[in-house]
Amino acid sequence: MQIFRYVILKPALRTVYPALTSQFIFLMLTSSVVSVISATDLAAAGNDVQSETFASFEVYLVVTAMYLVMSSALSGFFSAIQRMAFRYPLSR
Amino acid sequence: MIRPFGWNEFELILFAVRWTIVLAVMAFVGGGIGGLIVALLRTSDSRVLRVATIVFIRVFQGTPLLMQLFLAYFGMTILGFSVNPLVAAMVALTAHASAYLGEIWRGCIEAVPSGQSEAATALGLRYFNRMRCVVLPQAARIAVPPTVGFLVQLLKETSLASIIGFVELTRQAQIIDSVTFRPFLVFSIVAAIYFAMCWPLSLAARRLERKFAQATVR
Repeated sequence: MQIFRYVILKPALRTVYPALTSQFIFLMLTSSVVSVISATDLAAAGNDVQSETFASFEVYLVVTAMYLVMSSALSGFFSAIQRMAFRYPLSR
Repeated sequence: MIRPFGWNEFELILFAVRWTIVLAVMAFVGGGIGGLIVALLRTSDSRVLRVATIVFIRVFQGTPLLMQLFLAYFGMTILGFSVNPLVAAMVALTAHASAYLGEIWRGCIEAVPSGQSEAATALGLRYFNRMRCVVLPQAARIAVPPTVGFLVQLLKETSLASIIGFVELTRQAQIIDSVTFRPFLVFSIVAAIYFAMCWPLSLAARRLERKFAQATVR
């Protein structure tokens, strides 16, 4: 059990971690597609506001900025975790 | 009146594939040119250019393609061009592909050992020839498998162009669905068509990856 935890799991996690986080952010961005089948997410809320105000460009600019803030915040958060959990020299 | 789903409807869907392919090819060519520029600027010596391309990549990788399509579509009218879904879709897909391909190719350029470009400099080659004759040919070999992989993703992402009313495979399916009321049948067929286009490409990507992995073993 300890062998698995300290010898296998941690280096394995360290290796896949960057790919895993960027995949997660990509998944978050792709989730905007659910608005097509009228599930209410950020993009769908943007659609609703747009259909009331007809200020399409402004609405979508704001929604895009929100997505940008979210993905930057997530990537900052993930790299903070990476620095804490996977730093050298190795701590337990 | 509800139309039955017959051979004609199937043919309409099948022939809409050409617009999906046109979109994918255009986005790939545009994104290839843009991506090369982005990758070269991203690895250049000038700090200003590097930061500018990082911002470009951040913006286009940090926002959904759906929103980029909307912005391109509605932004064109604000800039005073007439509304044309094909152009809007092309602009958005090209920018999107440039950001992703630029980042993929940057990795490939950096994977070429720095001794190579140092040796080229020592031989008296300037930037253009150094890149063209020494670095890029080596980077291209590494770049082929991930690029084909990205092409698969790009081909599927052209389906988002349906949202701004461009009649490609997905939009044609929505139109057929709205007259036949057979959504499950229609979208199953469309999914099968996308699969038939992407599966050979991913197979090719995997084969190329194996081939180049063997070629680069020292």
